[in-house]
Amino acid sequence: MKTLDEILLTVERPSRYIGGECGEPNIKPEKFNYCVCFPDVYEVAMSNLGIRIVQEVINKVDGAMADRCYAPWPDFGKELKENNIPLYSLGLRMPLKEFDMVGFSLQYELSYTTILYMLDLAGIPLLSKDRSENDPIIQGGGPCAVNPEPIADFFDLFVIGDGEDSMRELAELKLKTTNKAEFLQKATEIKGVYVPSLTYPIYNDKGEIIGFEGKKVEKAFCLDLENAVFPHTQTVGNVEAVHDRAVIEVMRGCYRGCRFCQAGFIYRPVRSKSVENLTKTACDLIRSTGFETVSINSLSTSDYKDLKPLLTSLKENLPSNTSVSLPSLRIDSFDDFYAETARKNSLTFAPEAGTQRLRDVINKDITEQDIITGAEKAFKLGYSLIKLYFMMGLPTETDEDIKGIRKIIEVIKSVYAQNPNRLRKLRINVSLSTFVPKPFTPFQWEEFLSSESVKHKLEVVKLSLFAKGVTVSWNDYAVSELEAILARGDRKLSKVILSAYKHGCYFDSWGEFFNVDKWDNSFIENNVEKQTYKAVIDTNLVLPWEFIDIGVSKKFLLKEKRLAEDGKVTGGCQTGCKGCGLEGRCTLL
Amino acid sequence: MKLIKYSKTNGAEFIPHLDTLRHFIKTVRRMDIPINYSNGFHPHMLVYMSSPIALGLKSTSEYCLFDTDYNGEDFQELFNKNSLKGIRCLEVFDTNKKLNVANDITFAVYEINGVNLFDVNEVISRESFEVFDKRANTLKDVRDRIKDLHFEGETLYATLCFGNYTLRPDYLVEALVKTYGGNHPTVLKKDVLFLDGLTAKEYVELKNSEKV
Repeated sequence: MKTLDEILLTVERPSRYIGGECGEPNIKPEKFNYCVCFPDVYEVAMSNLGIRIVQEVINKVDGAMADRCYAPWPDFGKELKENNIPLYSLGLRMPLKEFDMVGFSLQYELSYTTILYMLDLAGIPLLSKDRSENDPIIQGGGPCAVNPEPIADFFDLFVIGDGEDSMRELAELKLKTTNKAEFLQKATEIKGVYVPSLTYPIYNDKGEIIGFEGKKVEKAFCLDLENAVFPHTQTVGNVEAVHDRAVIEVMRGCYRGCRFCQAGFIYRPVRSKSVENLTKTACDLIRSTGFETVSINSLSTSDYKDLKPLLTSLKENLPSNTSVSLPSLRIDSFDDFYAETARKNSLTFAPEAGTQRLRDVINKDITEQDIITGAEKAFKLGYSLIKLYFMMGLPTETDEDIKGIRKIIEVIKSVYAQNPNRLRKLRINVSLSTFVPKPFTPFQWEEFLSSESVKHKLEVVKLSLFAKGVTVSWNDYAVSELEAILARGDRKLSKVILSAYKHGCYFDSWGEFFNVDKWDNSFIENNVEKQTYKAVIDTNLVLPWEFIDIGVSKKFLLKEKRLAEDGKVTGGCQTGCKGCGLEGRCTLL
Repeated sequence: MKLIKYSKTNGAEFIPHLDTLRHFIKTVRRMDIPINYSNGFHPHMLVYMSSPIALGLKSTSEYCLFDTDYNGEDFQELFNKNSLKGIRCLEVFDTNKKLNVANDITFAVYEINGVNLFDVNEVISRESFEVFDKRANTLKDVRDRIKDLHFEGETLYATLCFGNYTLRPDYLVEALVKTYGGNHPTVLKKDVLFLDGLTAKEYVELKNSEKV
């Protein structure tokens, strides 16, 4: 048997597993011990803001503490298993099994098997029904929790929606209750809490869901974002994180309502923070972490009403050698002021569709003129690398829409050719991702593209998009297909996920580990038909996630679906209330 | 300019060289002291480290030079307040020269535990001593890179060449354990010598007195 130090000498990047980073919360074991887990590798996990907020929320509760744990890379995982060392938290190096509650951040569907991998390494039974009173309560939260059904068998409870209040209330409840059953029963009283053993679907003979037994779940809202808990310090990774910078959240939610975008619907209503609050947070973060960059995050930062005053305030108050990063800018709002603030290496725009018709279908309120104007401004400022994001397989898409991407490229090229100040060659990177219908969007009933259609569309791409200076890349179909199946899955998929894990699938979002054959075998073994989850869904059917009230009404989603079919744009919330169902809670009204 | 002697223990021995440099840059920013930057298109902080040590090797004798005009007496305290618990500043030397510590550290003294007692004089008197070089996948004669070996109690102290003509202590330990036996040996880089065997203090004084 090797010791932990001996193992660390043999694995890649051992500093992922030692903890003790600068800025890590000062914690000690308390009456309620919670461990927040991120089912991906250290560098990715350290970039996530959500788990930092959750940790801060729990650590503020008297008698409670929150530690953290990330998925070990397979080399370390293998050594842990072979040497009988249970997976441990990074702060206190405490085995996960010894915590009262272990929470997982559900950021993307392909991380589901990695959750099982972590539970397995921790020596915690994978299925909730197999866990005893002494095992920790396994909790999930994050964007994928809006359809928790495919992983319902592995979890004791989920928190759906914002975690600021619900996680605090859960910690307080855990401190007051004595056994698991009592805790789970009482937890259902907390907004956003879903206990799969107490609310479950009823199927008919055809395997269709006809209703739900138990309490409906209402999403948790943190309406007062301005005064919500937000960490003023950040743990600085021992290894450089993917996003090695301080992060401030200017806004939660998005005004736009792009019909394919799940985040645009599940994070409604839009809530924002004040310039003073954000400036103070940014200054505190820079001072306590030593980062050189502050990232201004939200779903659509350029829609933040006080962005210019915020940038001015940050420039005035942050140390002079601190830069500001502005992700999520829209092409129609791009202007000199923002561009001058950021570094001029590359600019990313997401027109999402090649023609105006299809952009109208998806409610992406951008015109060709917006693209031309945005590009002109960018080139004038010295940009020479443009990244463009498009989707393939959107509802009503034709070959013409794909060919339309070429037209956009040509327009951008001609704009660049007219720029007298061009110093370098123009480079355009086009990223094509396959459209995945997601729950709680107007496209939740749409079909996911078949592999034949994708092959055909890629032929069109190859014929029309390859040009000098243009790099085109696209997603692996099998990965998107699995994402689509898991996104709209029901409880029947739990056994498929379990089989896939037992066959050795984990870290599925990492190309080198994704194994389509193992997944296919898992579907076959469990007699689950993939096509069921990819096909068009009848709007009269009960959806697996329909027991959750996300705030946006089904009526609104259906209306949006019909408008999409007619190619009509609804526009964003800024142009007037569209009646999504959040009236009364929306801060814009 | 400040030359610091620092430790890399308590888990920090697993932080690789470049990540340690990143840590120093962030630490200086947290310390909020004036520091000089290069004049290039992308200015970078002027921080110079001694040669990298093997990942996982604990050390209480690493050096790093900061190009700063900060004159406060509290540099060490400020550094430690803003650094990891595994990377502690042990000593600070003021210098007016841009010292090339990576080049000028010529020997390192290692404290080795877990190797069975053996006759060090017999090893020292040999004309050749072979270790297995894992990177080159071959045996190498490193006798001329061993300056001194002696036991204090059961602890072995080895003074080995460091820098451009280095001998990794783990290669030596592996060879010793193979011949003389041992159990879970541990190595600590205890001290270093500059140039022809100067201590850090002597080295800084020598350099400070040199005319430009």
